Amino acid sequence: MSDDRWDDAPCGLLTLDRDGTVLDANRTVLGWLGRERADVVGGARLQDLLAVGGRIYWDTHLAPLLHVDGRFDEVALELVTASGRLPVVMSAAASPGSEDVPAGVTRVAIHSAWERSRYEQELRAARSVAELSARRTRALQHATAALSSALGVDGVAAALLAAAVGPLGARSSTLWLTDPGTGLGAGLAEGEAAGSAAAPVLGDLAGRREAFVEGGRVVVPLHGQSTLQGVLSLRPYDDPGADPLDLPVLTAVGQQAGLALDRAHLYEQSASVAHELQRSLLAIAPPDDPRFAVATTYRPGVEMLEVGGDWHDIFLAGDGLLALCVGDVVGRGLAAASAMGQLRSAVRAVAGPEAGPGRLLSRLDRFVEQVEAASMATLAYAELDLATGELRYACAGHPPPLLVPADGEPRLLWDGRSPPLGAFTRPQHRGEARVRLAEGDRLLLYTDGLVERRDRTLDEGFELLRETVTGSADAPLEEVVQQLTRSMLRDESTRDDVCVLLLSWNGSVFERHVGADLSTLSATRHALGGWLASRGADRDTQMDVVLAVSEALANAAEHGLRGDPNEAVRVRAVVDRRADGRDDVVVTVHDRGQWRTPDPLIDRGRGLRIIEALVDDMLVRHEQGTTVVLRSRLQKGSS
Amino acid sequence: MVFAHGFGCDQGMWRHVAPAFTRDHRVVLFDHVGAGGSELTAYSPARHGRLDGYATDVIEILDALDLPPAIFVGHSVSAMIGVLAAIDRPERFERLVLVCPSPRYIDDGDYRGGFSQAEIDELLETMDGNYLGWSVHIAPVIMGAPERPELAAELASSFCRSDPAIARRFARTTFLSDNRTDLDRVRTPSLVLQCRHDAIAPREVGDYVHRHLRDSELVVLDATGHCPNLSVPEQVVTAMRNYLAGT
Amino acid sequence: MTFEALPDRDGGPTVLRATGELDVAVVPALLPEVPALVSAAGSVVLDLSDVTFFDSSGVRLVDLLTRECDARATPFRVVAPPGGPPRRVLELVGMADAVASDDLAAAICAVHSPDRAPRRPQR
Repeated sequence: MSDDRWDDAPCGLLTLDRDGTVLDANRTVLGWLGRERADVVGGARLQDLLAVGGRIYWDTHLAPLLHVDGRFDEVALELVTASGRLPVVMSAAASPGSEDVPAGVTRVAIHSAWERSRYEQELRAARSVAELSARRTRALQHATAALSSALGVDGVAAALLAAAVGPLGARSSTLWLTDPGTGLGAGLAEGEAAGSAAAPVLGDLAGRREAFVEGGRVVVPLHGQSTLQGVLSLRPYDDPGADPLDLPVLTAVGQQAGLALDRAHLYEQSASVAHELQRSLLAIAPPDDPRFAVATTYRPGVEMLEVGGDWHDIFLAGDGLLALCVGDVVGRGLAAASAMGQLRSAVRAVAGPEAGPGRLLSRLDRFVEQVEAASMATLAYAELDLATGELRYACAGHPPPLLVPADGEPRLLWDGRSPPLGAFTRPQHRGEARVRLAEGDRLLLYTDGLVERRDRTLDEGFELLRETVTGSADAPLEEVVQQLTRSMLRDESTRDDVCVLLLSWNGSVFERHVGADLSTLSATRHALGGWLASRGADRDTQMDVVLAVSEALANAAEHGLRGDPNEAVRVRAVVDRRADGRDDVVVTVHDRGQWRTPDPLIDRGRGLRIIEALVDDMLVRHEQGTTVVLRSRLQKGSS
Repeated sequence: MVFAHGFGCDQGMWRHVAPAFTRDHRVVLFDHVGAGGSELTAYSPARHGRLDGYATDVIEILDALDLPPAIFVGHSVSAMIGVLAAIDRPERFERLVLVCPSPRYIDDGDYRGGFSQAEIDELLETMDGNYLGWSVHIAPVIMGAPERPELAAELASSFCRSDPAIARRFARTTFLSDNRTDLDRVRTPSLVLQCRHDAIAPREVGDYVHRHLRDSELVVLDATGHCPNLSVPEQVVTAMRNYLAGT
Repeated sequence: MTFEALPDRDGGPTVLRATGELDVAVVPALLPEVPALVSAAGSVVLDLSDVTFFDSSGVRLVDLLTRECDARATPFRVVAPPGGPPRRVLELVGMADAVASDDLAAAICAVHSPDRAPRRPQR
């Protein structure tokens, strides 16, 4: 066909046979191709005029389309021309057949798409930049979120490895953290066997700030502010269809990770300092006195890297006046621990026989005005008169102490309450209350971590507490404390610190000293008699014990003290409940001299014989002096 | 008889071949994940970044339908997918029919695959260029083709449509794969159909495949191009019938 | 504690009266006086009726008095009412039978009639 309308049409026109062989081509397209008609018509196939990509595309997509649909429209391809590549847009339609044109002929129209192609390329470039950027941002976001919510060095390491095989798209990964002393530590692997990746050489990494490819893997140095914190090595998927690892994203994540490790190290360091501080603050040696016994425990909160503000304390506030304290400073961390330390010291400083619990709390109100971090701390404070068993107590916003009687139901002491420390804007009077302890009674002070739970009310917590200690009045203190924490803290997940102090009041103990001049001998006998009476001893027991003790005292004074005015004999008496429930009086007479075996002189010998006749049991110990232990049944009766 | 389309379009490729066997066989046609009417959410870059992943899909189909040992007809890259599946689960396959197969498209030393790396890169470039407006422009035309009323709307609207990103990956997976060493692990008897002039799977490749399969026959079709199932379906049917009858 | 020697009346015994507590703090100071008191007496009664505390020190006093009186063949009794602290301890050490009388009258009677007094065991 040679027709100007056809030949000089503003677009390229061709006709093809079923195989794609060019049957005819117009002047326009031949001009673009820079070829002669004879070269193209009858000899070449359309595919051959296209660049290789287009050729493949024709065979896999366009030819089938023509077969099935008989047409395709606006397909972007490239013609190979004498001077290079020409982007075109091609449409084609199979002819149904007519008189002039046999069936199976395909008509093709080609438009030059130079401008359009440039425009599309720009759009495509922009879109792919946008997509890449979006992908990168997403990956970076995921990784950053994981890193910033990780706790501690282990947490950051785990988050980084998870991100490597997750949003960052690696098949597997190994992480090495640097150890200040030894260089790179052992590798932590994710998705591959530990040790399968070769550890990088530290020296090589010093100057490298960006992710780089080496040995088929991508190596990402993790630089902190001033040191290399570690190295991450990633193995990409090697499948043909896989996306390669994105180096700029990995570099950015590497920087984030380096800083995250910096922070994690600092955090752990400060946490350990704080823990040290807390440990030293809470190490207390309770005073040693046979009239009471105490067991304490402190359990730090679960999953808390920071120390808490709970503390307990027990000390002598005066002669025979035992002070007990359990408190809770608001918040966690070094600030709280330091405030707790100061508050604890303040309590010790202010406590004294004249002050009393209520006044002590008032003075602490003034103290917390100056120590901000101690503001709103709660405190339970009690003073026990060791001679009489009388307990004075006051609670500043703190859970009530629990009284566990030797006989009877445990009960919470709700009196003597006032708001937390520093809650008053002006100094206010703080109340206190009293209760008298009987021999064998116990008192429990604790912090709210023991009773507070997210999944139960405070009342339920108190009820559980009372139930747990019911019936424990005779069990050893340490055991009760352990059992208590076990029962109350059964669900260990995310709980606060717990501090527990359990005091047992053994009742009054008789103690006197008699000097070598024996001036107090008579008074001591009378006091002992009175004490025995107060313990319920009948007249005979009183007389017998007093007599026996007087003999022992006389012996001790004569042989042990030998007239030394600086020495004294100590006599102590306690009531001891035996395992069979019988009460005994046990008196110890102790001097620092060394008795020999008793003089054969009859008069002294009589002394011992008298003692033996009066008491159930006597034994003499010679360690750091001489101790005579007399034991006799405490017969009870009204005197 | 299970038909697997290759890179390019979808099960519509078999429209002129499959019906010839429905009388004597239970015929199964499917679209690969990412092509035709398949569920796009089933596409997984990790799984479908390798031909093994597609082979696993095929096994899953066979297992799910619980077919007796099948005659697997694979076109283009699906020929190799069938080879991998038959190595993995030989008991599921009675015969393989490999239409225009190629175990590797890129030349490698003495091996002539037909393309250089640069040429494959150019292919991917081209695909990118077209998919900018591909599905938008083609779909209305296909659906509303007035001079071809006999075309079913569904087939027309979906033929050669696929998710651009998935198609691009499938192209990479196909044209960058190398399964030459898998050929001699196949135990299933196979028929290799090769077009006389095929730019994508040239003659040498068909010979290579035939030589390295333990039990195979080679038939060269008098055809040009890469889609004999569309351009010369009657030759394909005849060759298959002869092969199946001859066993 | 008090300890006094009551003057004897017309040939009556010398009554040594102790009150309060006799213990190791006070007894040693009394012992040196004992020989003189005994030698001046015809008979001796130690009245412990008002003694509220009595232990081995008190026993020592009784013992010394007993020996001194024996040596001078002077009759000697101790007033230690039953149930009281002195009686208790004297019984414990096995001296009650020999020297204890239940009250002052009995004691005076006993020292006046030495042959009616129970024989003291020989040392």
